[in-house]
Amino acid sequence: MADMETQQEQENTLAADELQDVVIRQHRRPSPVWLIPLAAALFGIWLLVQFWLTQGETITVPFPEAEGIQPGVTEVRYKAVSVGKVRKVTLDENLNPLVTLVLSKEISQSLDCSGQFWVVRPRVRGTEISGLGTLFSGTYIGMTPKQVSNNPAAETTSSLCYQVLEDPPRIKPARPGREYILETDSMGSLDVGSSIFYKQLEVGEVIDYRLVEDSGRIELTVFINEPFYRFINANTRFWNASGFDLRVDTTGAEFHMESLSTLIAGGIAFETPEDESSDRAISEDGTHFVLYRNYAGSRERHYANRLYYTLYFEGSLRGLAEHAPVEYQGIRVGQVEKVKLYYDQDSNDLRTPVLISIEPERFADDIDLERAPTLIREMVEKGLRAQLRSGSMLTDMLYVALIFDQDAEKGSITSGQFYDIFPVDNQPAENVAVAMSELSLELQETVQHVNRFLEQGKLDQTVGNVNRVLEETRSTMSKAGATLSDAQQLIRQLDEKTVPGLSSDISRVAERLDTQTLPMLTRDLNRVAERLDTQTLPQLSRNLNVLTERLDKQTLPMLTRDVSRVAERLDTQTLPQLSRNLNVLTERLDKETLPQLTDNMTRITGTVNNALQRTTTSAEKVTGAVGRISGDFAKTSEELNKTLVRLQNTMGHLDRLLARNSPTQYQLDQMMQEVTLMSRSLRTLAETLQKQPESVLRGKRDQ
Amino acid sequence: MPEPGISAADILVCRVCGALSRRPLSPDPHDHLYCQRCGGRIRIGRGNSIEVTWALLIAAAILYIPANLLPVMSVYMLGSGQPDTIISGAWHLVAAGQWPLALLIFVASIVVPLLKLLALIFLLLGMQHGSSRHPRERMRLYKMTEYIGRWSMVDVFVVAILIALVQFGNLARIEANTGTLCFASVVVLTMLAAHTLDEHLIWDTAYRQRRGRQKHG
Repeated sequence: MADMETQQEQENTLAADELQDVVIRQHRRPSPVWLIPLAAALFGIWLLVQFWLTQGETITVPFPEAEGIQPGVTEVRYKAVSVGKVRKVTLDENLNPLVTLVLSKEISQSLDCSGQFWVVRPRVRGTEISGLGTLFSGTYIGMTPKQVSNNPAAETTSSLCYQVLEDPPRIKPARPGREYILETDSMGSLDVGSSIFYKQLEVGEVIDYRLVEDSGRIELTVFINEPFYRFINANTRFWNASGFDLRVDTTGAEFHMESLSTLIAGGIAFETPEDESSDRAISEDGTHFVLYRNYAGSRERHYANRLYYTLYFEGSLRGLAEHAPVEYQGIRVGQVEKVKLYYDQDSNDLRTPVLISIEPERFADDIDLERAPTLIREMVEKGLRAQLRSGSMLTDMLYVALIFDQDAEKGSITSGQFYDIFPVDNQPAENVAVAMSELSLELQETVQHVNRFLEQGKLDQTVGNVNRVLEETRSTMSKAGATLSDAQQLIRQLDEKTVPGLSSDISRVAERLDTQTLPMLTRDLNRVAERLDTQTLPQLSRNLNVLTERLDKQTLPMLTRDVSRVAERLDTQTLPQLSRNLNVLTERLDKETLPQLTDNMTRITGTVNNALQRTTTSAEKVTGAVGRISGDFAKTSEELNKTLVRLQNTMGHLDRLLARNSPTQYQLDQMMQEVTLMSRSLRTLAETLQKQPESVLRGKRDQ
Repeated sequence: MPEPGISAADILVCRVCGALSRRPLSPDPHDHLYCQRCGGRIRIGRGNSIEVTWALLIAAAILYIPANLLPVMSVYMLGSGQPDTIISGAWHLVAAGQWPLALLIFVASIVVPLLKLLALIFLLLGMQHGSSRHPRERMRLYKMTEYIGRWSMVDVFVVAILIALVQFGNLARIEANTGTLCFASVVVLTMLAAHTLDEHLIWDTAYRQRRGRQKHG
């Protein structure tokens, strides 16, 4: 057994000994397989470097509100290019949202303190609908690395030095064109995006506005598209074409509207007068222009040089408005700047200075501001005077006319408290009111004449009586020559007899007054009133619903007031006066002698005739004036009627356009509904995809 | 057996001429061995398995970092969207309440590759230091590693299929990012590493240690 084991062992050993050794060649180079981790390491390093290079800044921007801003999701975009992302949204110590943004390398290199940020959300405004894309894509933050506009809405946050805007700033449109700056006093209904019109073509838009702090004026930046800025040169006038322009002034009524859209969104129009623009150069980028208040304003030549004078008129300044023209023989040379009440403390006097401006360049182009005052001074020495005149029978507006009055008293320009005082000619203005007051004055005079006439007319009537009385008196006198007491008795008797007679006379006179004179007057007045009633008023009331109000308030009440005043006078003054006069007369009759009476009588009849003639002429004047007025009314109302009909048409169109159930509205409604539906279904799709990405493969599954 | 003789593990066979040679006791893995008779190359096991595996593992470990830090896929829906890393994608799924799916992605894409890396490193270290403990368990670990590794490719396939399927322009669009490349590389490299790892070595060292002990004893 031991042998067996030994032998086996020996075999084994033998076998081991028989084996050859392998040849070992040293090969100490590392295996090429190490290239793989090397490549991986290089790749990793490359990624790291790339990450390092593209890593931008992390900044914190305070937003007024963080609606729609989601950390990790909301993008930061510059010109629609994603340049960063919101990392987190926190609150600062004042509990205002602070948004931390991670920006890409490129953008953070050019970002400085004037960088602006704003939140882009869907916006719907009168003229623009923007950010609709964010309905689907979600809110994002827009930015510019550098300030691009002087948007007044910009709030500078000094602590963090970036600006957060309420609205996206206006970036100059990329299309070709030029920018101009318009200066104006008020924005009106203009806004960024308001259109610019040239011959009713939309040729540009307002891209920015800015309040100039020094002057308080507003500078609008407008952008005019490529071919159209060629029509702009130094002569170009811009005017605010917002809404429509309905003017009623001394020159009549005028209606002007640029485009229907300006009714809603406002707009600016411009025009270049052709006669002057033949060889003018196209205005450069950034040229300043004045934005006129309206079309009429733009049509007037703009004169920079003005001379200011104060006028002191006597009497009412009613109807003299600011900007009323100052004319010389019907040609405008200036305007009324201000009409005010001034209390002079020294003299305890109320005065009504009228400040006018005269533009001397309107007289001649080469008159400059230095020469102009002396020229006007000389003209005043020659008799130039200011006068108030009525511009239109209809509107009752006054204007200031400069006239040469050769017979005028010597006058000159005197220096006043604020401005030089220009001498005036106080002839009453010929307007309806004054005409009416003149008329009433004349009527009054007439009434007085009539009074006097009646005073005497009663004499006329009582001549017989008087004769009788005097005869009786004479006989009585002769009879009573003897005794004074008899005479006295007789006189008493006379008194007793005369008084009833006189009273019957009075009644007869009154009767006559009732039956003849008053009917004539009332007939005339009736005719006036009838004309007013039957012709003018219905026409006016029919045509001028708006304007008649004014007329109602002014002219007619005045007329009726005057008429009633006349009637009142007749009632309250004439009759009592009459009776008083009669009393006086009887007394005088008692006292005075016959020759004087007869003498008076002839004079009186003459006066009466005169008075009657005057009455008729003034009545004719009244009828003439009223006829003229009604003619004026008819013409103007016809014009106005046409204008209003047109306006009504336009408004009707607009109404139909804007009405709650108009097709446009309906279609817009439908569109919005469909857009809503679409966006909802798109959102559902997006949500489904987000929640169940596998549904792309497997189809939708109900949860 | 008090005195063990030569065993099969000590003999190398030349695959060219069939000559048997004695196996050098501790050859440097870099050295090339040749048959004495015919001069043909003799490989022990799978060549320098440990070195190659190490190289692959290190490469995989390096790429594992960008694979998890870089976005793997960008989903754009209606123009908005952002690249997602594996973790953020899983996190989105959790936020959407799909936590089983999130768990699956987390396990398949993050835990499994990491465990694979760690397991292979553990096995390699064990081989290098000639650990002879629990060879059976280590063998089971190796088998598991090799089996489970391929499933990490699911992620890569999902991305590949989604890219091909979801291309609806602005409506919905999916793009692959660099992370996918890194991740795919990690998976492939670990699979290769598992493959190049010579599981014989587990037993080899265990055996040789025992044998060394016997010789010295």
